[in-house]
Amino acid sequence: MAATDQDIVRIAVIEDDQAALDRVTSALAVDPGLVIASIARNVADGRKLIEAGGYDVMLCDLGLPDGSGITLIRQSAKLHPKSDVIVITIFAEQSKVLDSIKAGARGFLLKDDRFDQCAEGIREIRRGGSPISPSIARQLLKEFQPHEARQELSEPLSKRESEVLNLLARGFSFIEIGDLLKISRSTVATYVKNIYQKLEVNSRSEAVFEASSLGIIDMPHQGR
Amino acid sequence: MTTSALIAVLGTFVAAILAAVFWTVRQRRNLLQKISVTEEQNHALGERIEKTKARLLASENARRNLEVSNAVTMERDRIMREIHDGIGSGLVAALASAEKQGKESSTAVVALKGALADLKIAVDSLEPVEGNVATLLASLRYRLEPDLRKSGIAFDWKVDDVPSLPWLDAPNALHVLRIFQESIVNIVSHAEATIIRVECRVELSQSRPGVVVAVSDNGKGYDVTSKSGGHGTKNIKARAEALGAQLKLESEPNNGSRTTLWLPLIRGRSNV
Repeated sequence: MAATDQDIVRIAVIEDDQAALDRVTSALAVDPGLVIASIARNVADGRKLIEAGGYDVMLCDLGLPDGSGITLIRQSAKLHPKSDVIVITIFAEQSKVLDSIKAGARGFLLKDDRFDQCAEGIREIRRGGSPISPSIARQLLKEFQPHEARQELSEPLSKRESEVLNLLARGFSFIEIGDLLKISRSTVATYVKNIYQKLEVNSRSEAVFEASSLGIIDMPHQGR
Repeated sequence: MTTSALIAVLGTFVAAILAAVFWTVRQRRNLLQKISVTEEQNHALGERIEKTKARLLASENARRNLEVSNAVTMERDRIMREIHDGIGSGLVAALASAEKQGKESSTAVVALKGALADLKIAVDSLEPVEGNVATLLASLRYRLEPDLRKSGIAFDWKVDDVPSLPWLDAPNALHVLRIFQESIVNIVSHAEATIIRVECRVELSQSRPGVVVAVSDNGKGYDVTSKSGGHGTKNIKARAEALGAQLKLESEPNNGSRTTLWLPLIRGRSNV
């Protein structure tokens, strides 16, 4: 396992709402190992924060006053692939969460009445697991389905990953899925993180495929 | 007149008649040919018009369907944005400040939490779940379980892989969600139960295929015949009727309760 609960985790927060910032700060106080390293309140400052680096986890709100957090997620995933990007959202709507994951996020935290438990959520993602909701699992099953109108997925799901997604879409918990498939709870969580990674890779190669078939970019020739 | 001269005159005459007859016949044949060609052409044109009409109608229908589906998606996105940036953020902020005030606002905290929970379930009904009842129940578990755990209640989850119901759109999904939200909230507040079992599987009803959902508990039960409606049964019944579903409410003293909802795979015309 890469990280233990004793490790210091440096956290960057990108959030424009002061009340939400206050809640993050007090929620993280329960775990002395979780340290807020930097804060930005808009996309412009967020870009500088990401360029400066020096964080292990970036918590990112999507609706920022000068644009969408999605661009920041993409930038952070590119510059600091070892840092985990976590989206903070009130409802975890599937369209927003899926767009974030395609951009490189590895999880989401609900910015609601249970926000005080976000320290545990961050630790879980650092340990290699990712959260998921049933409707997101259902949508992912659809995204990974073979599709006539497009090229083969560069990263299709393994049989086990499809099984895990199907059970998640039907509401089974990580522990119950572990029991049903005779694997550990943390293995189930790791499957979800792998599935998120595959979604990111596929959406990137699909974007390249679409751009090259439209003649927007040149595909590099072999041996060049 | 000599014989040879007569023959020559007659010959010329016959030749002239023959030529005239021949010419007339050819003219007629040409005319007939022309008419038949025109008829063929007319027929072909007619067919082409019919085909074009059918194609136009098909593409018009496709366009209209696309328009409807786009309008539905746009409307859903609009409502989502409205809920998220407006009511949702407002409720979360109000809840945070009410919690800061401590004991004096405890009733406000309860009310705000309830409103936020209701709103989340409404948001879930708007998510595209492909008419999958199992995923709807899963969303309900996802939203309700943290509070249930605090009350010492565990789920016994028996949800099969069921086929999608093609007619289950957002308003109908909300009916299903509210029916089981209501029954689970009833169990939490009145039943003194420790386990809520949720079952979902394919089942025939009067030889019609469908999906059955049953929520049961091991609590103290309630009087099913009571007309007080204290358990929100009136609401549940109205929603089941709107769904075109079959509802069964069962309970025995000290033997738990059971809410069963059967949903048809295909909805008849009378329900549309």
